Amino acid sequence: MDGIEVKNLTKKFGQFTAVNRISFAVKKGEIFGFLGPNGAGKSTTIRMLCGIIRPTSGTGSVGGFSIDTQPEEIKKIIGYMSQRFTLYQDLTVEENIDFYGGIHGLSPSTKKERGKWVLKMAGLTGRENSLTRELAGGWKQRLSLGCAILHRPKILFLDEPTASVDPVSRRDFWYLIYQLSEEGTTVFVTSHYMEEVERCHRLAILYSGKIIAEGSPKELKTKFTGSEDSTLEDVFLSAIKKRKKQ
Amino acid sequence: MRNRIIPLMRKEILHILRDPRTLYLAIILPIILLILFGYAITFDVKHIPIGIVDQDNSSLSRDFISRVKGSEYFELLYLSNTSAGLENLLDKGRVKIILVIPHRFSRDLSKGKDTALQLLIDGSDNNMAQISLGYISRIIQIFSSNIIREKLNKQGAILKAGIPPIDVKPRVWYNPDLRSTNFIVPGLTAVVMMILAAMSTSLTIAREWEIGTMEQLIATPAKPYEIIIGKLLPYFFLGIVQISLIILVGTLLFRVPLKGNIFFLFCVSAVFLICGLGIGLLISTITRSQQLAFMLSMLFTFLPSFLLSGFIFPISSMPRIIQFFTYLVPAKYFLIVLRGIFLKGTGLLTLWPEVISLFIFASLILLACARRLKLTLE
Repeated sequence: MDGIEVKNLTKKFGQFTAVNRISFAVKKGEIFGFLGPNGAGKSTTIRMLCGIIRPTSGTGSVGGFSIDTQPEEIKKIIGYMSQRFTLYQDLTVEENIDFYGGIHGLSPSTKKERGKWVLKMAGLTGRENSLTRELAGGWKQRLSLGCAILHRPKILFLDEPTASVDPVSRRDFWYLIYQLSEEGTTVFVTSHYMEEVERCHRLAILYSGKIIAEGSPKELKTKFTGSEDSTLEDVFLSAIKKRKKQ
Repeated sequence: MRNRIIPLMRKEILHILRDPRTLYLAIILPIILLILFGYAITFDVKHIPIGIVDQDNSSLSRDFISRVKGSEYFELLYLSNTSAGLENLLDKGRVKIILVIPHRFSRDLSKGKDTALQLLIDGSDNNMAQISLGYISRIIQIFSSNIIREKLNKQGAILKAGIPPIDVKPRVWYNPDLRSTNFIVPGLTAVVMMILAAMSTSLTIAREWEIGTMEQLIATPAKPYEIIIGKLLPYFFLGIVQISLIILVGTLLFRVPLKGNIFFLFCVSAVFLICGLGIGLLISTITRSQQLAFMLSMLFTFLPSFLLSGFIFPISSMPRIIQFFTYLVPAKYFLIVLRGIFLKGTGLLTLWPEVISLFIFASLILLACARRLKLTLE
């Protein structure tokens, strides 16, 4: 079981409920999008799934391990790329790769082989000794992704991965995501860009901590606007309107 | 399972090497402080500027003045027969002390009558005033006892040897010349090591929170204790480098004696460093901002180590309630150990209470860290 399954997952910060009884499932190899405005609870959900914070109530499993009792097992099989490109700016490209390889416990030979692959993937071959702070946004983002998948994770979590890169870099990035998915990696991605989640196999719309719609982009369009030609933006607005009426 | 501490340490060392501020804090700061404190701030008061008004102008008064002049403690900057315009000198701070010899000085003395000298002291610098008052009183005392002796000798042979006044022959142990550098270098060592240890750890962890890498680290299989050890060990070694540096500069440049066992010194320093690193770690669990971490480090380490450790102000002369707080300052114990090792050459046999206190402090703080970290990292 290399997917994700979540039931009634809830996270409260004091009086504030950030995530409110959400349930969903992601199959192996699927690209699952989490769409929602800022503050809807996307990052909180991803952080619960990665074992960074504990849920208040509800259950969930990632790759067959419980997020409540086996976060250490989960951390071994996932890759996580948080909102900000979490590379060390004062380290060189190679040093960053070396560090993330080391912390994931790769053997020196695997580290070397995967490091080469990451450099090629990110288009950074020949720039191993550049300081990371000197790289342009798109390169940083791909290096960041590379560091998150050095250890060949079964499930990849991406939190707002393309929030601050240009459209061309975004397209290149998604090309990589499709490749990973074809190789069997499950991808969970959050975004507030409609155009971005359009590329997902399936998606859920999150609004004030609750899932208000779920399905493939096509299904959602038909269901909420009655036409496949409408945009996800229409879906989003109509779903919210419907929600408010209830 | 592979060791994750090594890559964490390697990364931290790269941070240190690439960030000149950390190195500055560790290497340059102690040397600057040592030089500042060692040369500029000295508690040895010498060459105090003095002004004398000699209204008597007799051989006796001149004899007295020559005694003041001959002492290395005073420097005679002003000598006059009238007291006009003298206050002005004191106001402007040209002299710190003014001595007025009244015109009946020698007459009274020759008649066997009591006489008085007038002494004006600038009390705005009360440390200096205290010390100069002590010096001048001693000169006057010796002078007057000599007069009494001469008088008595003249009066009869009964007291052939004179009346022997009680003579104190002081011998100062451990720091015979009362050099203040001998006193300052060990004290500064404690302060500087405390600052580096606490500040560097709290800042480095706050920085990881600020740039978001801490969250990334928590999502990796690395355990919280591995993250912490990987972060602290490089700073521990930096602290050891730092103390070696201070010992070198202190003994070679400032000629502070190192009488005790250097190995013992390093062992106790290691325990003290753990106290400092622990305080820094605790601060990092309170705040995730570098700025606040910096201020809290100042508040919790620099000020207590400077003011409450006995470095400059003796603990015994503090109010009771403040004295109680000094027990919570690890630098207090370390300071006693340092002065013991450097100046007295004592070892574990006499210093065990302080060493145990440091051990207790280090264990308590690590325990507190473990509990707080569990809350914030897991």
